[in-house]
Amino acid sequence: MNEKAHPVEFLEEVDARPIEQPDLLARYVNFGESGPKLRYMVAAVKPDLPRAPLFSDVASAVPGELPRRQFIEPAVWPTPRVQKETFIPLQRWEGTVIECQEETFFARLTDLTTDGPAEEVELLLDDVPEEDRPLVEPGAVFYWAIGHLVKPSGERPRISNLRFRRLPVWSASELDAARERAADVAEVFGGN
Amino acid sequence: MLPVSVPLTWPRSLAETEPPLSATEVEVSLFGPGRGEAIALHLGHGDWMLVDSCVDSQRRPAALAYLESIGVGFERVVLVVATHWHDDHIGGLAEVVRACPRADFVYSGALRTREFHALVGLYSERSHMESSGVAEFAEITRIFKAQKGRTPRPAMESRRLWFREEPGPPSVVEALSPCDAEVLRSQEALAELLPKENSRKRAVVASEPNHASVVLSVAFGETCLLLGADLEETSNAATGWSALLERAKLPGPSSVYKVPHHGSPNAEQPRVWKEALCEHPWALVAPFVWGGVKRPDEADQERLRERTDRVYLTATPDRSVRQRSLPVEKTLAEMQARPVYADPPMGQVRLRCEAENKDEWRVTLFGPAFRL
Repeated sequence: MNEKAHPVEFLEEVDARPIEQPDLLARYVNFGESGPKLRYMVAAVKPDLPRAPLFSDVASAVPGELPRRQFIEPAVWPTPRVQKETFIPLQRWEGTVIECQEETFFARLTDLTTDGPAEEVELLLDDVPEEDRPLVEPGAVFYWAIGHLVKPSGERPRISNLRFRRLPVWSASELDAARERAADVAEVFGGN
Repeated sequence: MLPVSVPLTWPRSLAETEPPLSATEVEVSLFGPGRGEAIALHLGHGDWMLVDSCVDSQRRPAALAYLESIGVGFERVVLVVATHWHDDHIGGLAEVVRACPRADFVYSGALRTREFHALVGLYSERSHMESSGVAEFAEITRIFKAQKGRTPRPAMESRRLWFREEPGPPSVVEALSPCDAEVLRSQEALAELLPKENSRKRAVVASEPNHASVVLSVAFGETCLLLGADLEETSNAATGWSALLERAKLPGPSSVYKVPHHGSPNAEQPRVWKEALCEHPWALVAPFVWGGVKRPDEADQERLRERTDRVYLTATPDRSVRQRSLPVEKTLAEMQARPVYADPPMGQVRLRCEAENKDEWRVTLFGPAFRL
C-alpha cells in the first residue's frame, strides 16, 4: 500500500457502527473473508479520491452496482472505543501502618483531598487486597481512596480502593551514604 | 485553692492580663494535646527550662507560644531537655533549640550510641518515611553543626544539668536516669530498627520501651518537683523506677509529679508515691492516644485518683470524628472504619507558687485541661 493512509475522514462516518452485512462490505472494500467477526471497520482512502460513501450507502449497495469509487486496503484497525470503568475519588488518604493486630491494623492518615489535621483509623485486613497483605506491617505506606466506580452501563457503585506502596529495598550505596550522615550526627552528639 | 479555668486560643497574649512572675516564684506548665507533651518551668529569677516539645494546632512549639504570650524572651531559656526521641515528645524541638540560643541542650545519654546516629543518618534524607523524632534530631544536628561552640550534652543518672546558687533560693536540675543498663537496653532496641541491605524500606515506627527517658528532679529552695518523662517500670531490677529509687539521691519529697508515661500502668511504681513524693502531691498528666492505645484509660484514672486527689490532665484522651460527605460516610460505615482526629486539642495545666511555700500551688487550667 503506497498511498497515503487517510483514515480519519472515513472513520468519522463509519466508526463504531455495527456492520449489518459484513460479507457485502468485506467484498466491497476488498477485505477478504473477515466473516461475521467483523463488527467495526475503518478504511484508508487516497487523499485525492472523492469522498467515501456513507456507511448506509455501502450497506444498501447491490454487488453488481457498486459505486465506482476506488478503495484501498484498510490501513488501521482501531481499538474499539469501548467505554472503560472510571474511578471518581471522593476522598483520598495516604496512610502509614502504626500497629498490627490479628484481624485489623491501625494507621495514621494524611488527608490528600482537603488539608486537615492527621487522623487515625482502624481498618480490617479483609479490606486490603490479598496480594498486598504481606506488606501490612508497622511503617508500611498505603494509599486509600473512597469514590464511585463509573461503569459503561451507567452504574456508579461506591467502592473503597486501598493499595500498599511497594517501596524499594535499601541498597548498599544508600546504606553507605547513611553511614556518612551518621558520622555527622556522631560528630555533634559524640558517644560511641 | 480552686483551679482557675481559662479558654485557650493559640496564639494568645497573657502578658497584659496576668501578674508577672516574681523572681522567687516557681512555675511549671505541662502542655499536651491528645498525643505529645512539653513542659515549661520557671527556675526563678527569670530563668526557664523547657522539657521536650509538642506543637499546637498552628504547628508552633507550645512552650514557645506560651512564653511569648506571657512576655518572656527566648533568651531567658537556659536549658532545653529532650527526655527521649519518640515522636510524642519531640514535635518542634529543633525549632525550640534554634529559638533559644543561650540554652544548653541536653539529651538522653542513650542517644549517644552509634545505633541512634545510624537511625538519624538513614532516615533524615527520606522525607516520606521519616518519623518526626528522627527528623527533629537530624535538624538539630544541622543546627549544632552550623553553630560552632555550642555543644549538646548527654544526660545520665545523677548528673547535675543546671544550678544557680545566687541569687537565692538555690535552684538545681538533676537527671535521675538513664543508667548504664538502660542505655544498653535502648541500644539493643534501636539496633532492631536498623534496616539490612535489601530489606524493604518503611517508615520508622518506634515501639521500643522507654528505657532511655531522662527523669528530672528540680529543686528550687524547699520546693521539689519530679518530672517522670516516660520511664517505665520493668521486670529487670537494674532498670526502671525500682532501680531509680534504689540509686537516686532526691533533694526531698516532691510536691509536683509529672506522671510518667501518660499514666500508663507500666510506669506505675507505688514506692514512688511513698518515697519520692509528699502526701497529696499535684499530679500532672498529658494523655496519649495512638492506635489502639489510650492513656490514661478509665482504670488508670481511677488508680491515679487513689494516689492523690490532685490529678490534672491537659486534655481528654478521647478523640473526635471528622464529618465527611454522605457517600464517604456511608462507605466508611460499611467498612466499619472510623477515622478520628489523631491529636485532640491542646491543653495546659499551670502551677505557680512561691519557692518557700511549697504547699500553696495555684492551678490554672487552659483549654480542655481538667481536674480528675
